[in-house]
Amino acid sequence: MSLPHNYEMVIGLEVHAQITTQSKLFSGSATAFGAEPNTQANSIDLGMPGMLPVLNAGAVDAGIKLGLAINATVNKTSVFARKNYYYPDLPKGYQISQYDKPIVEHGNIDIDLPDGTSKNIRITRMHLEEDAGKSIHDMGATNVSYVDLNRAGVPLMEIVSEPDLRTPEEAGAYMKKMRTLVRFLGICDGDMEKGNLRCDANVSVRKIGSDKLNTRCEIKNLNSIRHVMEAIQFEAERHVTVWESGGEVGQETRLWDPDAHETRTLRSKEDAHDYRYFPDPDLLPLNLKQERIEKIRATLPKLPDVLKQEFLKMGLAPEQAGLISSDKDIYDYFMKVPFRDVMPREIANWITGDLFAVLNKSGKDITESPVSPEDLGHLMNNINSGEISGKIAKQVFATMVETGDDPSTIISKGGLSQISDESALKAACEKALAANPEAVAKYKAGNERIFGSFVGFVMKETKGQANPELVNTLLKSLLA
Amino acid sequence: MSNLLTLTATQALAAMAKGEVSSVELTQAALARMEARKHLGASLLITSQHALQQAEAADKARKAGAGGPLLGLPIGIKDLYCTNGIRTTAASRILENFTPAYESTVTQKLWDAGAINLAKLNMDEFAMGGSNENSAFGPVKNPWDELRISGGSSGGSAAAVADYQCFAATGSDTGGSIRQPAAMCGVVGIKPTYGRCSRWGMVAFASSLDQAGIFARSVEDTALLLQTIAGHDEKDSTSAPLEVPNWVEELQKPLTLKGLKIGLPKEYFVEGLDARVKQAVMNAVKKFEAQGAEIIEVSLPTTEYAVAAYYIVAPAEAASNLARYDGMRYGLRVEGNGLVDTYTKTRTAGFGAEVKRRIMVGNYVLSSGYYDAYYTKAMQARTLIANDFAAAFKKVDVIMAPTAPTPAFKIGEKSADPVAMYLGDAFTIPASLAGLPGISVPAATVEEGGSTLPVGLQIIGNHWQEGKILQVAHAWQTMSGFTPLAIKE
Amino acid sequence: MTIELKQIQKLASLSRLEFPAEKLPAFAAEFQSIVGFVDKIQQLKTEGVPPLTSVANLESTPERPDVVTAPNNREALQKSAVAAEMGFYSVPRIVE
Repeated sequence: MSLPHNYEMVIGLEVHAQITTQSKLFSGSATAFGAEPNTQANSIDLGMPGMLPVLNAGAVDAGIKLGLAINATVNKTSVFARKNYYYPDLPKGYQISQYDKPIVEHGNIDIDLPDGTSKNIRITRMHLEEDAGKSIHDMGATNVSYVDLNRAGVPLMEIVSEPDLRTPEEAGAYMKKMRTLVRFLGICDGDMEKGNLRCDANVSVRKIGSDKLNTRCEIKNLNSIRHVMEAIQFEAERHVTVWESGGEVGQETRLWDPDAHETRTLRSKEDAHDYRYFPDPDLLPLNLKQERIEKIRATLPKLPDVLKQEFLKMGLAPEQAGLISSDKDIYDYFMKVPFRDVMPREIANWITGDLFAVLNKSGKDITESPVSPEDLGHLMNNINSGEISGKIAKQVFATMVETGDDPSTIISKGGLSQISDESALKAACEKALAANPEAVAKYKAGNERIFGSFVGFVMKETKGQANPELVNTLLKSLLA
Repeated sequence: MSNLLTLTATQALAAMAKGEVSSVELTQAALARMEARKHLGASLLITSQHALQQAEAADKARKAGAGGPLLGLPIGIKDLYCTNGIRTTAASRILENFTPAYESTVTQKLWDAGAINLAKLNMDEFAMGGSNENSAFGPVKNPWDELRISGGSSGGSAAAVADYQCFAATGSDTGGSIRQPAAMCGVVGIKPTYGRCSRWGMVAFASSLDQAGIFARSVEDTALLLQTIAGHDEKDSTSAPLEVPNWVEELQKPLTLKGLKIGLPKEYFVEGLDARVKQAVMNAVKKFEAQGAEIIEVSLPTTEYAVAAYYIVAPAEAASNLARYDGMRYGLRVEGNGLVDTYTKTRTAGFGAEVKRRIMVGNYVLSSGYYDAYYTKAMQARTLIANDFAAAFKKVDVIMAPTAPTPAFKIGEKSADPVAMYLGDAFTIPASLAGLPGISVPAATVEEGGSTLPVGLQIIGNHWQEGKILQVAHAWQTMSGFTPLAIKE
Repeated sequence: MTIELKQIQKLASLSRLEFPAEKLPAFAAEFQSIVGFVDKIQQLKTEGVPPLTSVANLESTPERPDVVTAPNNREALQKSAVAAEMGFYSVPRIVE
């Protein structure tokens, strides 16, 4: 999508990714999703008097992983600061975050654009902070809100990009890439529906060719890629309208209303919070040893960009290599398929072809696939070994989807094994020649194309189970 | 019965060990005195039933040959320590009805050692004050002269120990809140090195300064209780992973005063220091010198900025620490017209004048545009102050100074002038800013307006040198000739 | 530095505190005297002096292993709740 009047967008994203730790950033409470309200909020999370924070090593490790994965500097010293503001879902009256000394700085990632190209986006910083609780407004009495502090204190990574993004599509691609990355790293579930990956977008516009940074607006709490893209497009168009009508865009924090399909002012610059950041005196600076960083580097999994190259080398088509390396669930499925090394391309074809068709039809996710990766691998091996033909395989696959049976059971029950018994096939071949003397004559006169009709006859006779290669050899020797 | 209560903690424990007295008897005596002396305002909640149950259990344990080093000893707890199932208010209306569902590490260690919890003791609201006039539940009167302040913020603890209502008490010291009331009530009060005791479950005032400590009538008792409450706690990130020495044992060894290097900071003997207080401290110093100690003048040049730095850092941390008292989850709520109004009404009604002042100052120095000029600057001052002490401790073993510039003043005398009140902490604040241990031990008494009032000698040690200052304080106590307050009926 | 009443009111709102109009001038005077007093810090030379980070002498902030150690204790913790319903803390309606 482009903008009228020769404008371009300048977009920076702040992604909030909930880290998949067992316990909270500063307390030993559980972080499981969907628990009864306030059953995962202890005296620390509730901000009770005299309660103190102790940092979760798992969250720090996750932060280091992300830093390494985005080619960033992992700072040897980072500092936790208090961000002070009042809100009922913020029990202490401050959020423990990192301010002027974040754990990670100066990274970058390549985003993959729909046209097949990629673009490098710089990442300013990533810091660790605690999440707030949740407020529910439309339940029970009209003059009260209900606060659940289970989420209060869950560790978050705030990943801030440079304003390098120029279109909503790029912003969408950035979100997708970030989601893929954190999922491959195993540090965030990346489930935007559950809110464990969300983002704020900073949007401004300028005339193409200008390097001026105009006033930006921040759109808070976008919780799907579609919302990110739509909100940015709307906001940028709003800016163009304001500038073109001779007005001035005011620095604001705004909210996206997906129902009304518009952004709305949350607060203006004048009402901006004074967060009164200062280093949290209950904690000390986090000093990391190089040893620890290197240890984590050594355990980093292969990441999407590397995996894609490897898949290409294995012979996968570019589209499949891209797909399998960018979706953690598809990747996990693919990696569980046996005989993957023997016939990677064929397996990828089956996943993206037959399996996806079945999944699409039933509206299921690959994690709920009716065909296990193990069964799919065995089916592929049955083709490869000549046990069944490709054609029969489709039939077996359909039965697998329907019954959930494994391929061997289906093949043996249905007597679908390929006939490779030479004497049995020889009889069928002789029968084929005997039944078609005219065709034999034509073949012998030089019309080699007619050979296929003998094969067809044999296949029909054997209900498609004849080993085609063996049939070829036998027919040729009989005709010789 | 009263003479039981004039025993030191060490003597009382020995008497129980010999079977001369039971914990129940001691506890009953202490509870009776506490009830009878309620007019002093030292206690906020007397936990009689709980105390007697603990005492019975302690006596039973003793018979069975079990129990810790404080088995059966009745003590008082500053109402800043969260006690599980026992109301904890920090002397504030905003926590008037707050009962924690958890126990502070310090008090847990005391109960584990067998101590008996007699009462939650009065204090300045959220430990903000130097006179105990800032308690929402009334001031604490000085047992030496009931028209005078007890000192603060741990005024209830100091007064209760001085008045023989308990054998010892916990306090907390942020800028002098143990040492200063100890001096004003004529008892021993120690603030250990920052990080020596866990802050877990202590209602926070200023996290980078708050430290638990002990009041008792003898240095030996102080050592005994301090070694009980000290130690690393994984729940407090600022707690030091260090072994706790056996200070009581260290006190048994005779200290050679010959060659002990005592530093006298010249910046502490300045205008504003009461001449009689100065005299008392100098007399003490001379007695040490007579015993062979070497007296060395040291300079702590940043001292004059310490009070200003403290009144930037402490209010800043306090403003943030007290933001949680918002009426949303626990404590007081005053319903207003909507959310923001409820916050405001709750906090306006819940906090006293001094707490409000400090929250306002704290938010001022942290606010956008002022942070570097105040907060950063004050933290730089702390570095310089810490460096001053580090340089001094290269030359001397301990530093001696007055604890407070004057003896206890009259209730109401300074309440209209917050800055004058703040200057009362001028000699205790620097060690707090540097995280150093300090002890106040009675130096002498002075006469003022027909009253006999105690004056404190402050001994400051280097980091983790609690053993050293306890030894020196103990040596002083054996030679001071100080006459403690006679028990009043 | 002179602090205007307006600024004091702004600080009060930032602090979620209220000073009744009749008491505001007296409070402002007190506040001014405290700020005037702490302003003394401006005279201290601090070029090149690092701000103290903590007096706790530790290499790094301690870290705990990522293990759940706090079981559900809602019932006990909500005994001190101002207002709780259905397990939630109930608060005055939040309007965004």
